[in-house]
Amino acid sequence: MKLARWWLPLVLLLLWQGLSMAGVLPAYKLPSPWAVIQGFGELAVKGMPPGQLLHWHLAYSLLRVGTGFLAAAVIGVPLGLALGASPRLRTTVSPIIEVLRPVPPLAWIPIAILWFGIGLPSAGFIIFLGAFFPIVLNTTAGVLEVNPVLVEAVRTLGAKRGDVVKKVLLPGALPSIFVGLRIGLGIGWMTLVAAEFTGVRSGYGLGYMIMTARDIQRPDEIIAGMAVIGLVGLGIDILLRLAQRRLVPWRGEASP
Amino acid sequence: MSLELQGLVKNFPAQGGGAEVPVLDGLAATVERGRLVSLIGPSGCGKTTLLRIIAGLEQADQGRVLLEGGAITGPSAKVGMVFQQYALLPWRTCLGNVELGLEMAGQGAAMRRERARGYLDAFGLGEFAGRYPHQLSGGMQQRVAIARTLILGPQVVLMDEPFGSLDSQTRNALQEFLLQVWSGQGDTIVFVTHNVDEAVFLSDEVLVLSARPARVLERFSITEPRPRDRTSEASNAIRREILGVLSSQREM
Repeated sequence: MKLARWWLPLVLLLLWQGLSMAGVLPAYKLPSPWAVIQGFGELAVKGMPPGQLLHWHLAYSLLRVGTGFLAAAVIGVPLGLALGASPRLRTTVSPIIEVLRPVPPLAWIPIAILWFGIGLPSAGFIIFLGAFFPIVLNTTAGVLEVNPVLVEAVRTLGAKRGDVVKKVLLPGALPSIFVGLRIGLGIGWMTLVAAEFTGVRSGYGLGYMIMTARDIQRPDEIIAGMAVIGLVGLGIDILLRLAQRRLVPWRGEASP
Repeated sequence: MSLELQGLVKNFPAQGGGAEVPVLDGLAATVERGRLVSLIGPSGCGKTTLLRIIAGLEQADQGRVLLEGGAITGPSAKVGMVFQQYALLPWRTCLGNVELGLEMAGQGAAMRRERARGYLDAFGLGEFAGRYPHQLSGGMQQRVAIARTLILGPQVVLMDEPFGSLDSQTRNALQEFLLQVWSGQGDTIVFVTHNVDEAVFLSDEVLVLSARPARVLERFSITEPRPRDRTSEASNAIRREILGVLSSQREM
């Protein structure tokens, strides 16, 4: 880790701590970093609400995101490939996607609850919507960016239509597919926490945990919860980037 | 008699309300089996379009292409093509690229790998089998691309200015390389170039095409035995004649 990346965050944290200790920042609105760390400890050990521990909140949130994201990837990547490969399909299907895409996933919550009730299916559905569109669009864009000469070259080597998709379009679009997966997972993660604010049946979830902390005026635990969301999101993205580097070895580096 | 081009007509669709652009206007030619025939002509005359029609990548509006008497209706491994931009799959190693055609033909992994290795060795690329295309020079990439095409044993190999983006040293080396790997294969090569020296050095026959729409203006047979001396009297004479025909086509 390079010093250049870390000195500014460290300075800001120290400044924040100093201002808190000097009494400039009111603790009931913005507790000090140290208080947040203690709040984190309490979330992990005592739980919020008491007895419902942080790692279970995290596990439930990850389960919801995982479900929705997997569904989005399993449907979105093949659909994106098909849209990229077939101009006719693009003309037919694109208008539907363009109309649905601008609807924020959270705006689907009422209808999702009506359809699926409160629980994993509706949460998964909301995440699915958040992740689906970036995955489809980036996959399609990736296919369209594949050099047409490569397609012609494999056709003169005896490729059938399926070969073209499997051996050229899919690997050629892979870097772009990864961009879509990373954006989709990021949006899914953000969507999830907001969705959990509106209520969960199980009593678990990071968003639910934070809202409970707000109800009983614990800003330290609110901020600790936010930090967990941020760090876990970062961790997931790093994992995907590692997978990208393994699966796309012909590009020297992962795209930003 | 191997490859017959019969009355090929091709028009490109009009752009912006203008008239259709005729690219080929009844082009006819016969290429005998086992010969290396160059197509040379002014740039934009439709050489590449002609090659793409022979490859089955494009359809002629009229006329047909016969290979050993059978009409070509779409791309297949019988007619191989080598592109100017090499067109290697960047996510496959050299070995992976060379075995691609065998893989699509359903050959087992062990067997096709062994054959591909044999080709790479014969092409002087053995030690680069595990490299990705972007790690190789342009000349080496094009040798991989030629191996990838020849390993399938095509009846005709189409080459679209294959050495056009190489420096002249590498270009000369690859011309010699091509003759070396081609001799004894017995397949036909149709070679598009705009470089008269290259055509004269390589070919059994040179077809000079007219400006668009392309017709065969003249047909030169080159009987000088190989390996040829690029600066010999005979080479110079035939170059002079070809250049003469070409300059009559220059648009002023």
